[in-house]
Amino acid sequence: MEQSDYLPLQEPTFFILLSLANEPRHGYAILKDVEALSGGKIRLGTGTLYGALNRLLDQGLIQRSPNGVASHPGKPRKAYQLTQTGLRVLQAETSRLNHMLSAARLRLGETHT
Amino acid sequence: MNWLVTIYAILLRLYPRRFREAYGEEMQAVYADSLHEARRGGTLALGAFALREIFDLPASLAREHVYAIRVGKPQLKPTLQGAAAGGSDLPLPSTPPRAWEVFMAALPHLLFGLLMGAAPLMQVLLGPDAVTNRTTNILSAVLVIAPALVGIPLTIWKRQRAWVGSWYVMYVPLALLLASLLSTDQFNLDPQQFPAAMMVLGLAFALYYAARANAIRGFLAALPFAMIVWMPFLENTPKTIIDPFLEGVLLLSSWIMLALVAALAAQSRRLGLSLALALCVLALSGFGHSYLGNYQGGMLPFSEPGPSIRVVVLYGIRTLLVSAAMLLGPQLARSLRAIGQRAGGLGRAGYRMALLGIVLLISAFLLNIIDLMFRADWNFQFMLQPPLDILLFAGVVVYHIGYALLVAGVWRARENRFWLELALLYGLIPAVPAILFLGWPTRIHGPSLTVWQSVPPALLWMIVSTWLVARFGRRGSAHPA
Repeated sequence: MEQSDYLPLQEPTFFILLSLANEPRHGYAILKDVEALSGGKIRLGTGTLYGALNRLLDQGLIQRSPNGVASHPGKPRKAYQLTQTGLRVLQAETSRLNHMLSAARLRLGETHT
Repeated sequence: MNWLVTIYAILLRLYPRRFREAYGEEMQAVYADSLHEARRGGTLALGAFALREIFDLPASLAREHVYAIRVGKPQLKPTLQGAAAGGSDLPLPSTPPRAWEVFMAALPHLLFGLLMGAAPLMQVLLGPDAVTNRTTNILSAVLVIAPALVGIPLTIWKRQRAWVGSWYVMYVPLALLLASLLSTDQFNLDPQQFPAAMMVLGLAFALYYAARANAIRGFLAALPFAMIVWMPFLENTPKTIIDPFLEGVLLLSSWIMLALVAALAAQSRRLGLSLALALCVLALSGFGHSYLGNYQGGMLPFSEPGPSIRVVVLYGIRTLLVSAAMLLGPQLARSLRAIGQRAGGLGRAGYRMALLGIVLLISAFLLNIIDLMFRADWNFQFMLQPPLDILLFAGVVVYHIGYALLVAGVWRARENRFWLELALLYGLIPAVPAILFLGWPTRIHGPSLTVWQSVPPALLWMIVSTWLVARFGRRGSAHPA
């Protein structure tokens, strides 16, 4: 599949991928990170989070961390990380959003001046 | 608050099996963490968390079930995978079905629906004289014979795919056509005749064979036959129909619903769900016909229409059991084989003996039918009774010895997780020929049992059998459609 086939990403999907961009995370860490990244606007339910992770795994955009677990107080947890395809899709989506934002800024700037 | 986590763990069982097994534990842990944090945040945070999860759960459940059906992923449970993968079947590739294959799984049902529903609808739309023998022949040629001639070679070519199961029913009209061409007499398919009884025996083997390597293929093969068996039991005879429009619509809609079940089975490759839906569709079709009086009375102990839906359901459900046995029988035999294969050489010998016992029992039931047929005209019962008794006795003994060997094989293989399933199979499998050939318990409305005595066991049989074959039949879901 081409990267463009995955686009546009839904907002929760975008934030989940973004959450995994710099390091592997387990489910609860993703949940909290998505909330932080979205400024508290997106609070995922447990079922929604794992439904999204299931699809992203099926699409090959994320994978289970080879280390198997991520450190967490108490029990060890399974962790997820971005694949190369996932990273490229995230970059493509960011670029698409950037382009939209630039266009909007340009046009709105013209309107205001 | 631990009880909330426990409830959530129970609710997780509502998710599709594959999803639950992959993420169930993690989801429970994440839920527990979120709950813990919400409690620290006070009542408001706890309320917000509870609301979020309450709304999230049903939506997420619906999404995952739709996704599981759409993607049609294998639903194998690792511990049973070995059992289900037993035998000498070739490891077939697990490629998802294509759209045209799903359509092909549904097509024969649509064609049968059009064939059966078209004549009465034409009577209404074009007048009572519109449907002549010639019209019926043309309809049969266009809707069944021609598609069969085109489709059957394709099914031989793609014989490993599950969708070909739906097309096995197309061999029947071709065989009948061939028989009528070869015979100078009119070919008469009377269910009371011995050749027809032999055909049923052949069909039982064919359906088992279809299911053996691919459970979904076996299911699709049995589906139209289950409907065909179910409708005549209700004596749905077009000649006596009062309202041809109603009859046409009922017949057409019944087969369209069946076509949808076939498509769903081919797409999702989920055997348990498909079996349950098929039984629901059969029930909807049959009870609809009975309640609206679209039949001649037949096996049910009242004349048309049914006095109330409750009475129709109570009496009809025993008849439905015959169709259920048609669907579930081959799958139960397949489950027995899967367990036997898992249990080493002793287990394999055991399941073969158990199947031989069932074949002997089927033969005994067939002989019983012949005995009943000829008893009125000729005094044959004295001639047939001794071999009948011997066959019945031999069938029971061989089945029990086979079963004992199977148990020993399972014990030796230390696969004691199968005990419950094995115990249930022990009773359910020999019941199938009894149901199919004698119309459980004694020709449907025998005087020996009341409705209340016979309906709960009938329902229990269907539910347990569906569960059992769904548990052991998942290998079919890993197979191509």
